[in-house]
Amino acid sequence: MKKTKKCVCGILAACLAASTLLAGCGNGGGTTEEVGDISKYPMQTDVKLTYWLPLDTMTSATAANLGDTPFAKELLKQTGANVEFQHPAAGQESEKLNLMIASNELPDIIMNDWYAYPGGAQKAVGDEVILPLNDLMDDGTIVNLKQYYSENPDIDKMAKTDEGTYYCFPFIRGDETLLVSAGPMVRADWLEELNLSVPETMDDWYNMLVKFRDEKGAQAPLSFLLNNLKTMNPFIGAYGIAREYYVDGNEIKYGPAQPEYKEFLATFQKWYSEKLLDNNIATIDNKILDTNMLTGKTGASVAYAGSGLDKWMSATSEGKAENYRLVGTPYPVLEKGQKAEFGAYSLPYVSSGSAAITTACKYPQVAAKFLDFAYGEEGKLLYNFGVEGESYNMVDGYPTYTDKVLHNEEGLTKTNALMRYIRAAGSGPFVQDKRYLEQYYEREEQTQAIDLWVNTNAESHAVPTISATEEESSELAKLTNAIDTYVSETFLQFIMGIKPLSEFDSYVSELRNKGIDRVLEIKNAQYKRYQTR
Amino acid sequence: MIRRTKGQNIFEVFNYIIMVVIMFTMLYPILHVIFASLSSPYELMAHQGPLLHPLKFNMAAYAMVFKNPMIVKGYGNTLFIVIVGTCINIALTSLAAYVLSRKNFMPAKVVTVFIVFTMFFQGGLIPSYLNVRDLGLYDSLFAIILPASISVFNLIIMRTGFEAIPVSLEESAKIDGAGHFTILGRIVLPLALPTIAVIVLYYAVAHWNGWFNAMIYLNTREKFPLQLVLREILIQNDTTNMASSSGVGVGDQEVVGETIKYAVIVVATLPILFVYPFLQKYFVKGVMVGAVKG
Amino acid sequence: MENNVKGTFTLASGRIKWRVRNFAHLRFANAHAQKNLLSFLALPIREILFVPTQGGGMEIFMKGSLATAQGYVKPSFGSRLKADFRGNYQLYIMLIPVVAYFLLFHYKPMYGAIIAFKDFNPRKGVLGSDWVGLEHFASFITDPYFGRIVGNTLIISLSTLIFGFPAPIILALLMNEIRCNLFKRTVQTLTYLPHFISLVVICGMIRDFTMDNGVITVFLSYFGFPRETMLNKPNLFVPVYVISEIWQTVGWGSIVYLAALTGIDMELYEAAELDGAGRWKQTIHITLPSIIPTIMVMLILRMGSMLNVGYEKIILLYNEAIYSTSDVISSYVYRRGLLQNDYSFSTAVGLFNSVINFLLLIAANQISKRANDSSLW
Repeated sequence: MKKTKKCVCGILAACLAASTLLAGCGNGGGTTEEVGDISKYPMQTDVKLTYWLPLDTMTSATAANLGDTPFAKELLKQTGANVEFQHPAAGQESEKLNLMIASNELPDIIMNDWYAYPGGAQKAVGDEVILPLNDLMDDGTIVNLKQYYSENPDIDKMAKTDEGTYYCFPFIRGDETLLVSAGPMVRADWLEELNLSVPETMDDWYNMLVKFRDEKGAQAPLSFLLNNLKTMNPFIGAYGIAREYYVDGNEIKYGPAQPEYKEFLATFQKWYSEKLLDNNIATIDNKILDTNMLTGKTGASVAYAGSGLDKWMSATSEGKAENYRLVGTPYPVLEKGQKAEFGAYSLPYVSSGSAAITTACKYPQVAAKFLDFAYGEEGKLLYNFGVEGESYNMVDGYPTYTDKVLHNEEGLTKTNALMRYIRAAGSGPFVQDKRYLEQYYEREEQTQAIDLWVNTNAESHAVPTISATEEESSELAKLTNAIDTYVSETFLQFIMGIKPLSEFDSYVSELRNKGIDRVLEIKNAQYKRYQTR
Repeated sequence: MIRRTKGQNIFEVFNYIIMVVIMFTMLYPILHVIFASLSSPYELMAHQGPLLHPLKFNMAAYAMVFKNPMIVKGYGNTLFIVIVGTCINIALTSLAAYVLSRKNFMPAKVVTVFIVFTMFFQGGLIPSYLNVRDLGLYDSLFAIILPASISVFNLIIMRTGFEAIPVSLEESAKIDGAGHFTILGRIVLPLALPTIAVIVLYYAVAHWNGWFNAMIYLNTREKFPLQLVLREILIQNDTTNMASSSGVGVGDQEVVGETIKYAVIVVATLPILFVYPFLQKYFVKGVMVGAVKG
Repeated sequence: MENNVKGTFTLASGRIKWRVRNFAHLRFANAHAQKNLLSFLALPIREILFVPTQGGGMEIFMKGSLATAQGYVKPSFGSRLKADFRGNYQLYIMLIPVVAYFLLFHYKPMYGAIIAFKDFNPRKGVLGSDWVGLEHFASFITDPYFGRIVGNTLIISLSTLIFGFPAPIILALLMNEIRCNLFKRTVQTLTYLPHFISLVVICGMIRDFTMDNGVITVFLSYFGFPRETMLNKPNLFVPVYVISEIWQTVGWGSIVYLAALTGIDMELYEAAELDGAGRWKQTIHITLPSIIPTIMVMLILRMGSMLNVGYEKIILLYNEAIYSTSDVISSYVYRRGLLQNDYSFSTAVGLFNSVINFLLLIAANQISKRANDSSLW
């Protein structure tokens, strides 16, 4: 009897102590004693942080938790932070994130595409999900990122909202060669055999495809995934327009509403009817494209340097030609010597891998300091090259990957081995280094192709991170869905000849009916706001 | 032997022919999957049209799948969910089906509407999640089992099965003083075995294939059911996903992805396929006749 | 005429008292008796006979000096419930866990559906988000493609119903005719295999086989069909969808009918055989009628999902060239969802579908009740 009483007393006392402790913590802000000395790395602090991030598949292939990788161990050692990484099950991360926000169970740091938050990043701040970083930037906690922004004002502009709020630690591609990874490619062995040079103009392409069809027996000389037309603008770019929205001068325009679109359709319709363009273009998927590329049904495509060019060249199937070789070609233009206006291009500011500090974080300074590390010199090396002496060595000031990651003995693929030490092969809050990619591409054809693909004016046409207000976003969602549906549908009807090109004018007026003018009005207003940031 | 007319014989022949044709068209997809899973990924990539044998026999995809340390755990968890879940399903569904099949039970109609209503109107993901969390089920396997205790569709099928049982049998039991629990356990359930077998199959397969609730309600990886583990393997090897993320893919890993997709299907479906032949014996005619006579 | 004559009948046993609230419930044996209601009541009743009915009611037979009347008393709701509870209390006990389950896991979170009328904001939660009324519904109904996607949904759904619904029944009946048991079991097992293969693979195969050089197209070209990619042709989408749907689901769907077939009394067949009825006649007159309740229930349930054409299979099969026949509600909303993560809008569309589906179910149930007395409630 006595014993139980004692026990109860003990438990009560413990509970009381715990609750006072918790209450103390709950007061927020955090005193300097609790935080410790965070003025330099490694920080001296006992603060524990939770960091929620979807674990990319390249890492999860070898580690169940980011904390198990040599990268994270080194990161925690160098920053001195105590971080517990949390990962949702792969696949439906956004549902999980919504549930977290809805049930108010937020970790301290969340990596997410905050630019795509419904209603925009400013709304995420307004909803009190994430903290604005402006104060932390002004009071000297965030040093490295601030420095980076001041050196790169264009990225600074993309990283804040129209209201001037900084909201995240972004993923930045640090060099223009990192922004382009896809483009047109052709069978080099066929070119050689047919005595053709690498095509530059649309006429070159036409002649080449005719020869592929007639002399190589290609059933679908040009074949590619239709979606790549939207993201990379091959062929359509030759006519000076994009397949989607683009910036022309100081204005946002929509390619399929421009008169030049008709010329492009006429060309593609010709290619289609002459069976130069894959007549299954509407139905092909990755699998069918692979088959086409490897069995000689197709001699030219538009794809990525890695998952296209490298994959097809590496393939070792019986049906494949012995001297099979692919080379990149420049984005086609109309006149010889022109520089292509459009091509594959992604903004240096990548919204999808950005980390934000949530309102649930009790010690935002510590979290900020931890994340800011990535943008400093040591951080850049760690995020891009990993641990010195293990994953890379400095050779004449150039961080060179070791064989441990490039040619792993335990049979890990290059990406899997790399991702145990670095983040650069995926995304995350840091600046991606061009020297990573230089060593990553192993084929000469890949680097040559990238050099050709980079040579466009795509950057000047890219729509930056404009953002919609809440009212704008729901109106836009409705209008653009109807417009997208109509344009995608009629695009194929035109090139397949189901709809004659003489109906182009009625097509344009139907686009007006569906509200393209209103969409452009909204987008241009957003662009104006962006420019005055 | 009962005499047969000429027409019957012709029909018989036709019927067999039709069945054989149907059998082959139905067998093909599973063969396709098995052959593809055993093929060399590169050969498969270059192949078009029906697969009639593995292309350059290759077990790499299976090696890749079984390399994952979570597979065994996943089978265990799935087995637990299937067995416990189906038991709860059958217990609750047969109670509900029995009650609703009683013609003289006054609130039967109201209760049916009350239940059918939930087929059409749901609260959606977020309230359900909050509900499960508030019940203290979060991160427990019961968070997957309990919210799916009764499927209205299955309940209605079961009730229809119960209603087909001749009333005379129950009435004689009633006269002998049997209560509802006795009638359900001793008469209705044994007589409705074919229906129960169907429902067991439906529930077990649904549990076996389920992954969404597991993804939402589970946090500890050790508790993941098989399908969730396999899904992660699939996503890890998904070609399209990679191309879009960084724009840079690697040759090797990606290409295996194509065969892994098929290996995953084989690993995930083979065990559950064996449930049906086991249940099949309940679909034999004459169960009822014996009961009535005996 | 006094309509609410109150009277009290007392049972012989004296245990239950029945208050007759309304004499209009009395059904009279002949016109004469009805005409003389008042005088009948005024006269001494010589004999009353009470026969309790199943629902807790009472049949009353009265013999007056002038006429006889036969009537029926419906007891009050409370007393009926009380009586039902007394007789069926075990059923009520059985119902407790069932009702508890539905209340806890279905009705409790049901408030979430109101986000269809709100502008859902995860931070503010379901209840705290701002009301927008019918805005999302209006946005859906005024969409320029609303008519087309609803039309396509109905066409695909109806064709699947017309051709896909009888298929498992026919398959079950044909399998029922197989005498060789081993063969029968093999057929059963094999036909349900396609159900287990993921849609991604199934649809990949369909696309491959219906290409201009795919097996199916080549095979059909021997019968004069053009050798063109089927899924490029708007008018071929529905047939491809429906036939593949049947192929995928027919075996799995037939299981429930096979189970129903086992319940048929073999003696019926033996008797028919003696009467000289052939197999065809046996099928029409014995087999089919015995599985009609199952068929009707499955049909009613099917009607309740008329507007549900899942987006997964659609988006795996369709392409922009054939939007005109293949774009359905769910795929259109799915594409819109890709543009903006809009919970409220998709909930509104879901609710719209549910209301129509529920109405269709009620209608189907009512029709079925009238036509052959089988219904869900």
